[in-house]
Amino acid sequence: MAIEFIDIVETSLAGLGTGSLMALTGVAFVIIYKATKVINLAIGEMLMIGAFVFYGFSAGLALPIWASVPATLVVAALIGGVIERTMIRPLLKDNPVSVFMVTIGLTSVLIGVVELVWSAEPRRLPEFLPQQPVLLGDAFIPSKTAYSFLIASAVMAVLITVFAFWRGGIALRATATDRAAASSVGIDVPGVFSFSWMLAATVAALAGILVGSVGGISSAMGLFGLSVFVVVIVGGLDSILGALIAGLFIGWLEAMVGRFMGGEFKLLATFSILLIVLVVRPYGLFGTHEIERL
Amino acid sequence: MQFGGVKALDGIELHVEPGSITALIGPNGAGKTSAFNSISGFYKPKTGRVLLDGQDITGVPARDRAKLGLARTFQNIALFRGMTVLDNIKLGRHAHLTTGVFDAFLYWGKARREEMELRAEIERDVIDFLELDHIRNVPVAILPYGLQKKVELARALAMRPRILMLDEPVAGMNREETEDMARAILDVRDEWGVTVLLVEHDMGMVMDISDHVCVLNFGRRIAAGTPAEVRANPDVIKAYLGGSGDPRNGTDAAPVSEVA
Repeated sequence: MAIEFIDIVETSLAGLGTGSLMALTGVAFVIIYKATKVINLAIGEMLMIGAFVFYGFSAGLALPIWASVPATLVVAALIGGVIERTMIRPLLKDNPVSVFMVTIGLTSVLIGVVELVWSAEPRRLPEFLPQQPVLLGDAFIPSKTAYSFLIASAVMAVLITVFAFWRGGIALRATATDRAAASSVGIDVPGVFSFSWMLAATVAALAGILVGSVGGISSAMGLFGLSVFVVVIVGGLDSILGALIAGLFIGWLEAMVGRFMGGEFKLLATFSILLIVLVVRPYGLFGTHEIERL
Repeated sequence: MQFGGVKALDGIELHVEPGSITALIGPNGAGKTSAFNSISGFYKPKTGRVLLDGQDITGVPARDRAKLGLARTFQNIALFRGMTVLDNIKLGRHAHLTTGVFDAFLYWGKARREEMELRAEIERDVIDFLELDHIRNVPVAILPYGLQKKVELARALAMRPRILMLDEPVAGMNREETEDMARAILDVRDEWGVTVLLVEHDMGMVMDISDHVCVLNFGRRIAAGTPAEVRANPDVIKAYLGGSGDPRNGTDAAPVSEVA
């Protein structure tokens, strides 16, 4: 089979589109890990509940798009805050493994909530991105892929800048490293916990809106989180930049392999990369070396 | 102060004179660290009060006590591993920076200027003062134990404390490192006018530098006074040398492996 150049370009662009959403979700995971050292296995489900809340606002209440997106982000932040306050903070003094287990339970809770409110049926989000496909030279990009890529990139650019220059960033790192020492120098440790969960829930919800607008929503869409775990392990659990680069790369790789070798090789390729990275750089491409592994 | 049914502290009265070096000593399990953590806000006592300048701060959380001028170090070193010495020390100033989270974006110039001033002040007052200039950009995790203890002291000093609380500042140190630390503590008191409260097992060091010593045993205060008075107190001698006390005092600091 002769591979046409234009085919490669289009597949690459589609892959980068999916990759940018993985990266954005990965960033949400990293924010929590960076500040609290909690491995949040429920990140995919936090993305899902964000998408459903958006569905509730935009389809259920028929709010216009400029109202339903901010409303969703606010509700998502509140959900993140409630999860932190009721499920994570009471376990602060316990073994990290128990917190890790709680996030597994959290996945079921969130799926249950969504199925109770909206049932398990897959749904489509109302169309809100421009419908006109984007042409880059001769390459055709579906409009949703293109716009979600742009939105995700913009949000990640803001987050990367903030964490690079904002002094609070170092307070997050300090909290993650040693909570007793952090509070001894006057850092508001519970505040850092709330903040990171709320911010991560907001970012995950935004990713959920974008993922849902491309592929529809269902209570099983949290499975998207599985690829995200590969992304954050490859990029380094505590590196936002790592999540970005690994997300784009894995999205691109999956698309290329799926297109030119067949869909059944997608996961093989992804997990081969995971295996290689774990052997060569167990702390990820950009992660801090001393990260404890579970 | 109770842990479940165990009374860790029972009716202790400890008064720390401003500008003094006060030591809290006692055999293992006497309640020194419990008392220390109650004062620094890491434990909440069930009964009793912590007063600062006559003001009741018992209910003030640890992070806000930092703003009131209480700085502490930890028995087991609690540094931000993975960061450099300078970053660790700078974090000590976190509580006092006037530009907040979002100000740092709005007033880019102000936040920067503050950062520069902070850096200059720390260089001059803390890093030079404690002779840490040769290691300022070294990650703390690779420093030897004695230096890590000193970086912890430096971070506490960067908080510009009025009261410096040191939990076993020379535990596990050799003689040279101990003397170095003792000198640093005296210098801090003399040049900064800081009040020092310390918990320590090293009797020689405590007797050398303290103005006032308070002895605990089984959660009770058994003696208090100048080093000479305490040394002559029969209860203290009994607690340390015979009967109920732990005879290994002074050498029982946990053997601490050097951090490579």
